[in-house]
Amino acid sequence: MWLRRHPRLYRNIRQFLRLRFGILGFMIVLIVIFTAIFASQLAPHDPYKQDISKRLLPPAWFEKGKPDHLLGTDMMGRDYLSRIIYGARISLLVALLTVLTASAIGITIGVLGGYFGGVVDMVATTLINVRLAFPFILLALVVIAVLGPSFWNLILCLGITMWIRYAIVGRSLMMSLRERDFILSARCVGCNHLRIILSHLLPNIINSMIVIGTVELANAILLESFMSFLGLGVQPPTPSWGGMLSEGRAYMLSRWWIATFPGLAIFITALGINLMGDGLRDLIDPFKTN
Amino acid sequence: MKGFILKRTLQAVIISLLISFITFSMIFLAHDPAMLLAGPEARRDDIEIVRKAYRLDDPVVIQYGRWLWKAMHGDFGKSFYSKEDTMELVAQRLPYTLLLATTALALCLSFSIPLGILAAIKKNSVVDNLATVIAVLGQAMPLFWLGIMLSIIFGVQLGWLPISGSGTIWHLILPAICLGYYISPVIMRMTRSGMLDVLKMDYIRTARSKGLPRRRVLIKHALRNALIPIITLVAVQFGFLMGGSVITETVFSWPGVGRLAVDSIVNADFPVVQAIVLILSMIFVAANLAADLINALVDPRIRYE
Repeated sequence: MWLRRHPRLYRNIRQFLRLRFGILGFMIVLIVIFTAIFASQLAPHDPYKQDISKRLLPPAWFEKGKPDHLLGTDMMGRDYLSRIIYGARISLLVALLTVLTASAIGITIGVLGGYFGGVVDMVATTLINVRLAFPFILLALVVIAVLGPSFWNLILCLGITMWIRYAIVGRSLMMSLRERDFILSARCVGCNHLRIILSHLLPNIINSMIVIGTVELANAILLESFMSFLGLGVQPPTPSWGGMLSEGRAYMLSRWWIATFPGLAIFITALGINLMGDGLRDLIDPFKTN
Repeated sequence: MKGFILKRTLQAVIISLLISFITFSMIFLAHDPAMLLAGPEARRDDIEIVRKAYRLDDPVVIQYGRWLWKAMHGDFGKSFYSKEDTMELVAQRLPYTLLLATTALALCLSFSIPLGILAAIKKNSVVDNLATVIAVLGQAMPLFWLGIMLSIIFGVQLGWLPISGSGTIWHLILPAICLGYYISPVIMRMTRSGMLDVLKMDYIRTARSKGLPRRRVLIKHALRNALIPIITLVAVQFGFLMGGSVITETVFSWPGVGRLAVDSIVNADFPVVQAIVLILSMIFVAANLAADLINALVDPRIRYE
């Protein structure tokens, strides 16, 4: 290929392509956020309004579909498109709060362990190893079963389950950073530990944490949807994609579309976030890409 | 080497003890076990009688010791829900999970390792991009939705494969494909980056400059060295595999421990949940300890870290 003979041009094209997928992901995420914020303006119907006479309508392009119910209705006659639109709200909210909780736990454990070393690090690594040994989905399910399913318990449970990556990466970054000269000089000037961690070390790991946070946002959406699918996550009648999928599963034999759309929503959202995360990593850390 | 083995084993024991304590205390955080045992119609006096009878009024540490002693002998008590012996329930289901997990792992490895290697050898080629697309799509795919979609397409619409239960080899196909695809992005990425790392090594350059044929350099020098860390990394991914198995078993009504765990969690059947969580975690700890020791045996640098 002639491109091979022009390595710089080739690299630029590849970088542009990669970036383009990042931008595509960013746009998907923007659309989902927009949908979530303006759900009440965008949804054609009230997502909670039941109408038994219009149960299980197929999407509008089917023979028996009604044009004002674009994606049909569910088994209680609620407009499916409106429920999917409102579902974006709950999915994003849960995922965002989860990432905040999990990163707070994970960064604290990782930073303290990596910075102080010794006994503190032993505690941190033990915590990490104990958490790694639990199959994470079982851990999440057990925690929610113990706490009881509610919105805040769900966040807490996902937070307890998903802090691990921040801790592992944060710890190893800390261990290499604390040996650097600027930390030594900060210590010589007389900065205390708190000051060194907060104003010299944290700013240096925040980029990596943001990249992890984006990927974990998608994972939080996937885990939340599975828990709602089992009935242990977001509780009905609040529309959640996972819960809708589990309702749709009951009609798998005759009406395939009911289970298809909410899953598609989860898939596209997670894909958008992941693409955005990959693009972000390339931008923040261009040397790490292969 | 002795010191390393001792240190790692001690670490594994401490982690196992912590895990068992967390698993044990779960039940006390959730409910009053005496109330659960006595049943919903029990009066307050009955609950107290049960508490005395099962010695649930002892200090928690003593109860934990007793529970751990029994658990180490395979006695997790009776299921609250079915009143059967917990260990027997789990033992009936474990082979199904192992069958599903190994089939999925075999499928995944036979597909993602060659793809990962090809992607690394021909960096930025069509194969590399294809591998990236497969990995990116796989990471965003909700596993339970993939299961339902495959059921609808191959089970309901085409009628080729059964969509739930077990018994024949046909029942295994859809769940194994789902679970295999679920873990393949991780394995593929690990293979690709591991192979890329090896290809950068000096001994590869040496082998090439000696004039060895390309194929021979790749297979004899690069691949062998790249595969060792991949095999051990598979051990680390055990938790991930089990997590995926929980989802897959639920969707396809596969009678493994994952589905048993989900059912038991929904029914608040804590002895069964405790047994499954503890057994799976112990398998993980043991697999990792073994992987670490084998690594140290093969690569002396690790011992002196």
